[in-house]
Amino acid sequence: MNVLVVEDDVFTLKLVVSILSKNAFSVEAQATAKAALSYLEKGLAIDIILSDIMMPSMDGFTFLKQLKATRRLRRIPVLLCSALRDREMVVKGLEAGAIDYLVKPVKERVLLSKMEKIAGKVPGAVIVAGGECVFVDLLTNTLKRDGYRVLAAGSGQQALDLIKSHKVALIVSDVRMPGMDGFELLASVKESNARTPVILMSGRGEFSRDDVVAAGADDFIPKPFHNTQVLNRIEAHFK
Amino acid sequence: MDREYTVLMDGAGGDHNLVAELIIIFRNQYPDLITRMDTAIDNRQADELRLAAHTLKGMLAHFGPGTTLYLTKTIENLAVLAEFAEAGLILQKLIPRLKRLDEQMASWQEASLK
Repeated sequence: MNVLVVEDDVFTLKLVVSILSKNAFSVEAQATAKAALSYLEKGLAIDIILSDIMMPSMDGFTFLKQLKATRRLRRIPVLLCSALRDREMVVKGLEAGAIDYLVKPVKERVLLSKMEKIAGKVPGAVIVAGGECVFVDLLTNTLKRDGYRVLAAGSGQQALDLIKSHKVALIVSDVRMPGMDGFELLASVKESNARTPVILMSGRGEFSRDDVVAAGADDFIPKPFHNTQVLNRIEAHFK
Repeated sequence: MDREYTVLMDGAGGDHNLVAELIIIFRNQYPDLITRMDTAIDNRQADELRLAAHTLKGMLAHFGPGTTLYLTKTIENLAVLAEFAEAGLILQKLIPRLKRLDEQMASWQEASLK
């Protein structure tokens, strides 16, 4: 689990980074919200952000609002951490979209308890499976721009291998693929991970929604697809 | 050991090495924060005074409640009100307390080497 800690106070930063690193979190630290935004612009995968509130030049509330206003970053859960303990501040943070609020001084037990709870809520990745590079790349980029963690698979077998090694929330697969096709992948997934939703996609006229739903798929999207349509359908499965 | 040490150790999950590093950070940082608060009071810079006091308060809170923490909180509150004269008086009361804490920390460091 990759965590970005945004904290200008070196004392608290040292404490938080040490505690998290000792407990299997991979930690990146930035001293200001502006530096954190620049870091996030590089597109590196961050699962959770822990941010101070009172920081020079940009405070934690403004940072949080910027994250929530950025499509690619809005889904990252943010834990606010501050010595500002008034109820008003906590409510303001939660209303701005923070997943939780940690009051300083940081205590190891409390920090780990909150982080583990948040880590449990971080949704898994979306697997995009398809035999055509153009399809996989297009859908992968569309989903990444919308803040999803995406794993691309060039075949049904690759998708199954990814399921074994990653936390997966959803599979979106083309029906036509080399080797194991979409229906075979669907059958394998439902046999072993019945709760993981699978959306099948195929060219218009090839298969109908009834065909794929009868085979056990959770949804069907015909190709060519419209980005908004795909995003809406995928969002529905995450809700 | 002093109460402050025990509170810090508890917050750090009993990690002696981490506590030793935190003590070094505190001892390196607090003189600069005193200077920042002093300068901010002289120059009537409320935001800078508030931020420096807030940072010091954040560190002190890890040693548990007490007068030193209370005085620092008071300076932070006075900064919001731009009450520089009063903040200056409180800072003069705070400085000897911080120096006493620094001496305590030096003794913790010495004890840990034995």
